[in-house]
Amino acid sequence: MTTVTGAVTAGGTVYPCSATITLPGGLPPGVTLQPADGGPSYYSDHGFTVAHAAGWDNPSFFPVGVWYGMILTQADVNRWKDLGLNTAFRCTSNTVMPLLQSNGLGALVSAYAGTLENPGMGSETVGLLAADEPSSMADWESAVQKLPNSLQDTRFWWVGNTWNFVAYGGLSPLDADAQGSIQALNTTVASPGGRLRHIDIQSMDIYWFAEQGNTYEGNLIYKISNMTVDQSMRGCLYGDMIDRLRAFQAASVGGYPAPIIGIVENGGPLIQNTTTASYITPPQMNWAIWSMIIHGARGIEYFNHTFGGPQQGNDNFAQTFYQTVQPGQTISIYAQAKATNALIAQLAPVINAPTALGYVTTSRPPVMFGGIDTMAKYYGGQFYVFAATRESQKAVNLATTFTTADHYTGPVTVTGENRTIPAVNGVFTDTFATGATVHIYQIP
Amino acid sequence: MAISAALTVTPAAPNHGDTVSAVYTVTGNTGSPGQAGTVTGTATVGGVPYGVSTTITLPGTAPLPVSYALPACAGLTFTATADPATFTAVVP
Repeated sequence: MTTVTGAVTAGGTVYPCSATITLPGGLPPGVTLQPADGGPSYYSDHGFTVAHAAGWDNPSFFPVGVWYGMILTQADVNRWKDLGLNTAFRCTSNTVMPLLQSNGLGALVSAYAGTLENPGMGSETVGLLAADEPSSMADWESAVQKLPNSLQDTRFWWVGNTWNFVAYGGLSPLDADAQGSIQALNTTVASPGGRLRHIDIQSMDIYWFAEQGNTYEGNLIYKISNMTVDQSMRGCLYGDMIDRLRAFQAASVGGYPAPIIGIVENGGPLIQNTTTASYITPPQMNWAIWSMIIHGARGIEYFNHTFGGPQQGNDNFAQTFYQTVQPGQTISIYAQAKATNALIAQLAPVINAPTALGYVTTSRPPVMFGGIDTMAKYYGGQFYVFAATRESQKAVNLATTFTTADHYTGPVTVTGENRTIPAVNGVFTDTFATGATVHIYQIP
Repeated sequence: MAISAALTVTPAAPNHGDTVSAVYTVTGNTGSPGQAGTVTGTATVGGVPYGVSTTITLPGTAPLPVSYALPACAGLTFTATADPATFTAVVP
């Protein structure tokens, strides 16, 4: 037990006071805790009071939603609720904003060039989209420069970039390596009232699975020349993009560390997706989502549109095709998203908790196109290990040994799989049935 | 009323990474309300004293200004919050 001492001074008289607290024992040797990107109270810390009031600092909240959401009726709301969606990452102009508000859903509204896409926005709108896929910094700067302070001062600014933001190091003007992206994210511009703002939240869209072999962009992003189609279609690539984006906002480069939103397709977002066989599959989508979370994403956005092939639409989740188990699959896109989102919601306090660096290693250390990615979290006095592969989606039965720094002996709970596996002196072994398999372990 | 101060820390048994809050509470610093009083005197007229009096309300006193020290604890670094009586620290 430790004593906390303090004092109150009232009218010049000092009144000493104290309290006791029982601090936890030491972490295992070599383990350090690192807060999730932006910290546990990012939104209140930065004056984004609308998001804070909406619960975005609540450790039990994890934003999951769709790009360009359209909520017109209560039936739309009910579908979102059933799916576990809580945020519209941009809203169609005809979206009924009060429906979002009355149902506890959040929104990010486009304010491109200073014009609100949803002028009826209210307390449901936690953030503002400065620009989507901007081609120059001027695209997002004009939003900040023109939108009245009464609308922007209590909300965060978000920009959604494309793959070349990572591959080429930023928006025009391009600088060598990452300097352009660092500049694009961290340059301050004056709002109408003079307050300086910069981009707060970022995301980047690249649809590795639906691309069906995007080795051209992959080679540029990974700075290699021989990426195979197989290597270009792995869930770990989605997670890698989170790391790349984070580097542009690091304090070490003069940036403003913040939560990062991960994006995944749920159909065929490209015109070259001419057959449904080229759409993302449920296991691929689940793999990509957990990879992004393992790499630190603090929000998930589904690209809920299909622009190629026979099942095109602007609200995939509402369409029968995506609600139906397709040939060769065991679950529909809709049901997979619902299951994944439910697990995310269940584990939100864990995902938002500090990362335990140095806690776990595996017999398959991660390399560019192989091994196992892990993220260890410390929550409630227990450790959690999230693990997903970097292997081919065709890989099967990947036996993997985990070693934890606490030398724990006893049962390890495999979250969501209704099973335990034994650990002895911090070592346990499990198998990844396919390259797309994700496991989450709870170590007491 | 006597003034007293207390410090409460929650949670009392945190884990690594938890945020603990230290909150001061001060009791008795209420100041005092205005009080009625009587002023008496005597006026003598033609050698005859006349007792006289009147009532007044004496002013009360405002609560004393209060400030709060940054709590100290080995292993914890407290920082101020928007509430001057509340401080927080992350358990390393």
